[in-house]
Amino acid sequence: MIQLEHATKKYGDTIAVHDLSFTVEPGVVTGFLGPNGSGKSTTMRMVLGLDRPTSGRALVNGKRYHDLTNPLREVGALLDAKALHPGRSARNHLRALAASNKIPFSRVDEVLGIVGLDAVANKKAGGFSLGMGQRLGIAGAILGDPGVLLFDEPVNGLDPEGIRWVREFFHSLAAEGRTVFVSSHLMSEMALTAHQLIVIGRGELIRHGTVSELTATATGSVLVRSPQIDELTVAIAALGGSVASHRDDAIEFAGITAEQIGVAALDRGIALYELTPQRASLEEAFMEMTASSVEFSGQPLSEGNHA
Amino acid sequence: MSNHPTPLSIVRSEWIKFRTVRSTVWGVLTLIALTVGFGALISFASAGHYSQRDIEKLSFDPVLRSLSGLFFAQLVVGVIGALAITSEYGSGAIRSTLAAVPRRIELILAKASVLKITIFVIGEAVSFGAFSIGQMIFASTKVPLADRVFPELTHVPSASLGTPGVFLAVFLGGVALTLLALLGFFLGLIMRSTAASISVYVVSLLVLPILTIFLPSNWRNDISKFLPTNLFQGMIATHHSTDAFSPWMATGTLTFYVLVIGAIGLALFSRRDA
Repeated sequence: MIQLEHATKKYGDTIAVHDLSFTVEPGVVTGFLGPNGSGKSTTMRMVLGLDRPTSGRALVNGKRYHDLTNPLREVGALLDAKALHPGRSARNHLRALAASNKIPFSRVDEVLGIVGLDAVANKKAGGFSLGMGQRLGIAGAILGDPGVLLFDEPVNGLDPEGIRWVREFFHSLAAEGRTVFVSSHLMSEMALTAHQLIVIGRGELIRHGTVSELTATATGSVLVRSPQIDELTVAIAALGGSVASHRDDAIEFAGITAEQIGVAALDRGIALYELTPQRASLEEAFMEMTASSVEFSGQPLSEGNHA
Repeated sequence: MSNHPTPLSIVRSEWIKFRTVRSTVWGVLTLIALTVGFGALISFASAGHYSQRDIEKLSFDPVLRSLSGLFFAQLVVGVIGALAITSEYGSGAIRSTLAAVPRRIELILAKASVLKITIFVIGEAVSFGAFSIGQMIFASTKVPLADRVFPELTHVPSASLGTPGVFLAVFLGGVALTLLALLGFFLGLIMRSTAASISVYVVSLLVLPILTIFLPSNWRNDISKFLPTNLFQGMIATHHSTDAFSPWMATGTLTFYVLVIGAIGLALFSRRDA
């Protein structure tokens, strides 16, 4: 379990994370979504004790990272695939990590096999592709067989086969009862990988819920085809709906449900050829959520220019 | 469970890191080449010159001559020391290191121990090695009868470890290299950048002595004996001038520098974000 309690992190005058509180539960994959610079990596660094919160706390299994007695056996993390010495072989990199936490070297060969790097175990990690680097980072994260796992942008640089492997791997880790916390800016990937989602923007929590909850709250539009389109538009406008797009006899209404449109059409004797709710994708939901976060905490561009 | 990280397991991990990068191997090879190889070359050359200048004969110090290569080695050990920590910052590996060992003071003490033990063992080996090779060269170089200042001397004078002060000087040669490696390491810990820490190290070793030339002469000796290079020289000297510290004083002063820089480095490291 990972808990953030009113965690705030400032770098000088810049607020990277502001009063962030959430709990990541075991047993499911939790996605951590936010645009670039929203504070995802800072949050993960605070959880791992690399960055000290300016105020508030970040806890793993109820403890600060620094106070864990068996760090690698409790928490595994992939922060940056390039966070290793480029001149050291993959096997020696993992052996050095293993030795510090008294993990037997046999486990090193085991995890190299799990991530599919056994053939290049003695090659220098600096020569690895981004995808191979991610696999090595994942190998390092699972080295101590920990119950809590954090992955920062793990699918970056992976090929489609690798992405599918990672997705299934995360699912199996969660199914074993582990806490799996995965950050990404790839919403479409998160829709397939994660069950729970935590969305942040500008260092603040925007939404926390299941993937289906988050897509449901996004205001989808409704596609309508009708021979009496003008008449219908007036009726819908009276009910508070608005026109999202208009093309010949088809129109998309926003801010109103399909049920409301159907009833309104029946009341007025308007024929409908089609009435289709347009389900918002997670990506649209995400854009909508983060756009509003930029609005409420952002500065007007003209003021920002001379800051 | 007894398998949580211990100081020994952290040292073991750091030893794996230290020996599995090529820069360490190159650093150690350069260290051997400079001390033993270059030392032998200088010993050979000064043995050849011995007959040609009378002033040479009177001031000839076989111990210091054989250890000349150690002066160049000062730079190499500082670089090895700095790289032991700055390479982790340069690559970002410090983050996976700290995730594995969040107890920062223990981590740095383990890193410093690995560096200290390795450089001490190699430093003593090259110091005694360079000394022995130098003495063999001197002892086997004949001096023509006409050139002899002391008629009973048939060969260039050489020293033996049994002579008072000689063993200490050669031993402190290895100690000095160890202390300087730690100085480079802690500068690296403070500055986190390879280029910055090596620059500061080189300036304090090579540039500061030059700057003392511009000091008033009555201050110059008082100040210059505190400079790292002169402390180093004091540690391996067998003839003591009043301008320099005694070997033990020099060792103590250099150790004090390492402790001060180390304390600053540890204080910063335990507070800073990684």
